[in-house]
Amino acid sequence: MAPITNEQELQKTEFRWAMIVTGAVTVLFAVIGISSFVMALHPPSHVESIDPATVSQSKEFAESNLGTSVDPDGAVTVRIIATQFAFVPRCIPVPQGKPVTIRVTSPDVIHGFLIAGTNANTMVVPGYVAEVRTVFGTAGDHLMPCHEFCGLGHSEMWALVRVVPQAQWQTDADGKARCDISR
Amino acid sequence: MSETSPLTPGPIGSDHPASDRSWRIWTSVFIAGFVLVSLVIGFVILPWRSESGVDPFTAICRALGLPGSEKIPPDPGAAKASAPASNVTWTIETNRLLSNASAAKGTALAKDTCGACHGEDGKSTDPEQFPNLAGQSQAAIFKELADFQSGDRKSDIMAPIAQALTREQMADVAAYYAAQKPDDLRAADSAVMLKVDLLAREGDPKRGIPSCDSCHGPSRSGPEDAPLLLGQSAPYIEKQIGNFGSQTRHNDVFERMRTIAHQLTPEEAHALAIYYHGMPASN
Repeated sequence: MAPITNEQELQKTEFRWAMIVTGAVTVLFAVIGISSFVMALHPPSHVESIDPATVSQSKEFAESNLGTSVDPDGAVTVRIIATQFAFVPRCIPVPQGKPVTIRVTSPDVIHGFLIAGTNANTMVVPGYVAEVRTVFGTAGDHLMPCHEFCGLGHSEMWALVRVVPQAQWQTDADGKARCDISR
Repeated sequence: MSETSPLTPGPIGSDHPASDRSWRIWTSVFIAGFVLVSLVIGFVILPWRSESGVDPFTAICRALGLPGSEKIPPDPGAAKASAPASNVTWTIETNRLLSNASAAKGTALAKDTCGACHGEDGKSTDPEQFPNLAGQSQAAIFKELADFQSGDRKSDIMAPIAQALTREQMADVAAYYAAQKPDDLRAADSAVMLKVDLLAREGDPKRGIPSCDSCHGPSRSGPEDAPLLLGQSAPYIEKQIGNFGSQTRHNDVFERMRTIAHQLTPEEAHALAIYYHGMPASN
């Protein structure tokens, strides 16, 4: 192919390629934009700090207070500890079709929090309480793996989120809900 | 030729405006507009319509990452929260206490008090009852002593002994035993079933059981206070796994051991204990 020497030809070629790049970038942004709207994919933002060294002594993240609790006003809150190398508790029941607030923190290293098949996805950074608000549409079990390498036991670190239909949803006298399996 | 090109700017410092001026202006306007629209979508519109149970203003503040805008949900359960599994926390003070500890100062205590059962050199007089301490992690010894003192770990023998100690003494004696040389052992991998060998080194993803070595091995990466297991006697290890599984022992912060121990079968616990009992490294 002969080299293009004519300046106008050169500009046409530049313009053509610029249009192709612009098109590609436009498509990528459209994918991000549409998926954010339609699938409600967006980074959850919440800035609340907590001392990671003394999380084990905190009232909110005390062993008995972890898991799903329903307040007298009906608000559902799930409190989870992500630690090397497990989520506590290891099975989390939530009611179907109701707003759920999930609060997670880590006493040791950075962990990842993701509920498969939903838009719940956040980093769990020691020193901060990550908060995710979501509504679970489909009943059934969702896998909840740690998605940030956290040490040698990372690949065994996962929990279950059990979405329970409203009709079968029940809590005990203290408003706590538990899975019937013991893990 | 270059003077005819519309893309060539005028000479720097010249009075003539660049010939591509309108191109520059419109590109700048477009980029600024694009950024602005993105900011509005990302920080205003999306958070506004997708944050359930939050008023629009708070949702926007949350998206912007502004602290103090949070309404932390009420927590009636916190009032009747259980006591922590252990009072030991790995704060700067604790770490400083451990790093300033003196093994030399711990020597006298080890000889007078601990040595009768755990051995002056950290090799136990009866390993089935009293764990070997030679080469054990300083953090692990310190934490167990502190838990015996507070009653988070129960022992009729250890409670009065630990209660007589100050935190500095615990750190010193822990430093002393951590510095003692343990027997030269390796895991007894040929003595037990292959399955347990895998459990110890790789874990069991299906049951969510991390490998024992990930917290208790030489290259561990788990909690500071996890003890090294190699070289403890098999009956002692098996008993502790059993105690965690039955919740008799519960000084493992965040149930790290209880959730694992109660999933292990008695056969697995037995085989793991033999595995970590170890065998001479030269064998």
